[in-house]
Amino acid sequence: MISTCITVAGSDCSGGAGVQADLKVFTAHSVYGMSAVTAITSQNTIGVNGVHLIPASYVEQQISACLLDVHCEVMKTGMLFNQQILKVIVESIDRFKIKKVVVDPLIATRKGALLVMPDYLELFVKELIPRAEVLIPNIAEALIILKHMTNEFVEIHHLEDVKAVGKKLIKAGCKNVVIRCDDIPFASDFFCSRETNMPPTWYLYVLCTSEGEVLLPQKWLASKTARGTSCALSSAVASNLAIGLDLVTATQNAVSYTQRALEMSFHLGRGANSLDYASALTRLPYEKGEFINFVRYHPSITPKWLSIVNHPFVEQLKAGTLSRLPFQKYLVLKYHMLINNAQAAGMMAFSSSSISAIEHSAKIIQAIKEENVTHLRICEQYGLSASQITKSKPEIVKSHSLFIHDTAQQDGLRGIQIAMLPFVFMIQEVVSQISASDGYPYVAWVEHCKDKSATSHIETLLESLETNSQIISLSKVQHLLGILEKSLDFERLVLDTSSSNESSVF
Amino acid sequence: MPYNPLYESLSNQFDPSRIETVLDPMGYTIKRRALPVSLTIAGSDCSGGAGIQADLKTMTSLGVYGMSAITCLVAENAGGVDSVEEMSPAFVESQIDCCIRDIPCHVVKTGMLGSPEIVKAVARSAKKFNFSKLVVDPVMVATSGDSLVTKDIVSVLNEELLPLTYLVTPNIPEAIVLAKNQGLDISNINSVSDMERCAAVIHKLGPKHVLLKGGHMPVNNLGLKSSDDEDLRVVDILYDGNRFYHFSSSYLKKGEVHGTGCTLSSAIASFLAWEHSLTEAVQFGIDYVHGAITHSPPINNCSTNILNHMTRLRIVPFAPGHFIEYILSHPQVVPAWKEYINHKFTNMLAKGTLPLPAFQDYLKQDYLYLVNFARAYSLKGYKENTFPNILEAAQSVIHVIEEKELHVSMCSSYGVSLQDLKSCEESPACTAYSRYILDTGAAQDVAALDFVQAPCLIGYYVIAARLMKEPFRNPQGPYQKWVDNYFCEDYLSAVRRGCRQIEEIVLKLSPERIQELIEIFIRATKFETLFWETPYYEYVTKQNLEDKEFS
Repeated sequence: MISTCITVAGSDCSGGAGVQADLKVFTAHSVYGMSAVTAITSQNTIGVNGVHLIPASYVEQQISACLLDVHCEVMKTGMLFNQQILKVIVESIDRFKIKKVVVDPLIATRKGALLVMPDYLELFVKELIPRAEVLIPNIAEALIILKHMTNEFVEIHHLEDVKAVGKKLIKAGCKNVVIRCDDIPFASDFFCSRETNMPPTWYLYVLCTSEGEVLLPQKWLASKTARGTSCALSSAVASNLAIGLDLVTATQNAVSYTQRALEMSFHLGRGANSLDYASALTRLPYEKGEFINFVRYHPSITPKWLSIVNHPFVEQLKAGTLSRLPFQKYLVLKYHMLINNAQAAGMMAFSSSSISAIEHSAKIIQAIKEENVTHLRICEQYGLSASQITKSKPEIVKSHSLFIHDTAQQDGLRGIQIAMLPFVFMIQEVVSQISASDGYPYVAWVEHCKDKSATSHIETLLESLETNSQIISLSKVQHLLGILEKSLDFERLVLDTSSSNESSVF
Repeated sequence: MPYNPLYESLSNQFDPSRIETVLDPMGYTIKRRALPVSLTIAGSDCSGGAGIQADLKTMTSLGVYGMSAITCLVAENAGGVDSVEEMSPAFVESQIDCCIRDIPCHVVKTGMLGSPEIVKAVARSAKKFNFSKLVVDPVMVATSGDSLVTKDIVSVLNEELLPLTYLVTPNIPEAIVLAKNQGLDISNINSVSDMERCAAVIHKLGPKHVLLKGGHMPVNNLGLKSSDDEDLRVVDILYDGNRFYHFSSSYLKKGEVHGTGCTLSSAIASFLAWEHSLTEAVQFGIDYVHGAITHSPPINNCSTNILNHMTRLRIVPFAPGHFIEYILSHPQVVPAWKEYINHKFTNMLAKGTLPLPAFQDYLKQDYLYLVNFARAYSLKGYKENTFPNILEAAQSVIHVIEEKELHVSMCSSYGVSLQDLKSCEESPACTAYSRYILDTGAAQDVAALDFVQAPCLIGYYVIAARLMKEPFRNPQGPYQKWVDNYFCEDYLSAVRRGCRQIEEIVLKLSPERIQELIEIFIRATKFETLFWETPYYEYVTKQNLEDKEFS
């Protein structure tokens, strides 16, 4: 099941705030996001150009359309614009029994200028705050709400003053409060740095609950201010609650997420910076079970593979017109490279941490041994004696051996597995397509290659590689592609060496 | 988290505004400055499965910064359309202006446009801002095309927008409506070749490219329309005016899935924003939608399913430059870490109440451990593949050797001679720990080596820093020299180097791999604790010499 969350807020077409920002944050947390739009604004990083208010009845219709269809326990509210819409939301919370409402008040700017009418504020405090699981005001909003609830005022000079505001809000009836001190930098001693002329050190976020306060200071980023931090924080809290985390952990995660998005923010428009909502994400370019297809058809692999498939040696092999000498050279090279693969399989066993993986590697070695015994027997049919094959090791084989060992040392199990893929491709895409009919000169070899028992370890290898490739990073994928490219280069070199009149491999 | 000089220099090294080589969502190496950008002009589907909501989820999932101009609000859920609230054309144009004038963008995708006037407004914007990669998904509320409003929209779409379009992405019913509106008949579509003919007709309406989607018409192996249960394929056809490109995928019997059209066109727009070629963008977009359909979850009570836009995403749980903070506060790490850095052995050491034999035994084992630590760094040099990294590993080896020289000198001042050190037998704790490090390094990669050595490297500094501030510390105590040794600038620079290497390497790892490495870190941390515990038990506990302050 996927976690779900609904946001009720305005629309910011430039994507940096409002439901657009919320949906990006939900997606970044793998939460399925829904949105009821309260107003559509025409705005960008510089400012707001126009507002199209949505009738309250239509806001209600959007909320109903979502919640009658999809099970959802977490709602985040943002810019609600007027009392009629606010009433509709309160009614929806009760009607659909929303368990956790995360409220971003948006009633004042960071400087404390009111954004709403007194009647709205009255209704907000009376009806929405009691239903909020957590209220996430900036410090100016917190002070306005506190004054409205208790007629008290607190001057902010120190962290303890922020905590005092939180405690008073809890006492006055708020369940939980996260206070953001966006515009007030604090020094290392937690006094306001502007008042004491100390260098700024902290952004302060303080979570206040009936059980106490949790301090969440974040490093002050002098060169970084960005739009949309309140949307990001509150929808990140909502996302973490939707996932099922407790409020303290949810808030810690949300603060970390917001800080990272701010730190990674960049200058996209001409005004304020834009948060990088996706900075917490990594992604794979293929689906489960599709890794081998992905690498096989990757644009850096396909040309190399085609140069092998279209190589004169392979063309002649398929057509049955390949003369004996190059084929003999090929068999000799393949014999030695199979030994390299067996050594690599031994390294695989050493690199494995589970007994089943070790068993898998041991079986590969056993299969290769049997393969080589059969290989030698087949070679005799084509005029090659065992002593001819085994007496010396061609230079290309030594290079391949070094490559295999280096790959094993640096990249472990996955690296070795992908280095063996060219062998698999050759069997699957070239040899299996050869119809060894009467007159074809190398029937025994083709039939051997097609024999299931001789290639059963290939299936195990592919299965293991597919499984292992679900837990790697994009960077690792690229690295593995590099190994495969080198492996294909060796395969091509084998064909060149086999075809060359200059080379002698036995 | 309290201020710590370890972290200061690291976070300043990540400047997202510089031009850097990165991997795009398909693993290709490209250079870029900021995120690629795309704009969607479409309706809002509050249930999140279609419209700008699906578009923004798709773009975010594919690493694109999405902007959205809303044409209308639809209170729709997966079960059916309810009602529509429409924007004025001027306001739609205002939203587009706001986006494009501030954040330039040439890849624009349109979805449900709502009215003929809005279509005209979009066409004006397309000319004004030169949408060179305009992707038009001709969304129609009713595919019959019979209603007067739909006819008007289709007329303006055909006459004003398609000539400006880079790629139009109709499904077969939509294509029929588009063509019929201009008096062209493309009925009787029963095969892939019929689809080619249809795509060619749509191309005559003016778009540069046409992608005709075959989701409504699964075909068999012969390319003929079929309803048999086996081996059905969906073929999408891309036509550029000269060539047809076929994109074939297996037909997924998933029932009806809400939002596939929006998701495909915005996925294609996303890949175009990453500057892929059109054929690549279409192929990758289809693959992405295929995955989203395959993994669509049972999330609601209706008969239709909802796309999973997040199937390829995994969350990286720390910010670049902040991994050390993350791992040291990780709930799985904290218990072992605290036991290690707060061990009674170190407390008594700082206070000066640690029996000398305990300290001497520790010094001997630490000497033997350092030999293996140097071997581990040598192994790392072997495993690295760039000269700067190999050189750095060599510098670490040299640093360990220098530390060993200091160690021998310190041992001498505590009555332990070099001969004592050389003749001493490795304790089981030392053997277990040092061989665990070497085994991890031999069997795995450079990252594993970094992680298995990190508790020792970082921990000794953290312990020394803690002890320096403890009220029970005796500055004139017999072991203050040991604390000083790990609280000096030279050691701190070695720690910073190690931390920087870890911060750099974790950026290339998957979340799953990082979890594996965290487990290695925890295991190594426990071995460090065992390193304290062994002499403590032998020379303190068994001799009843515990300090009551720490019991």
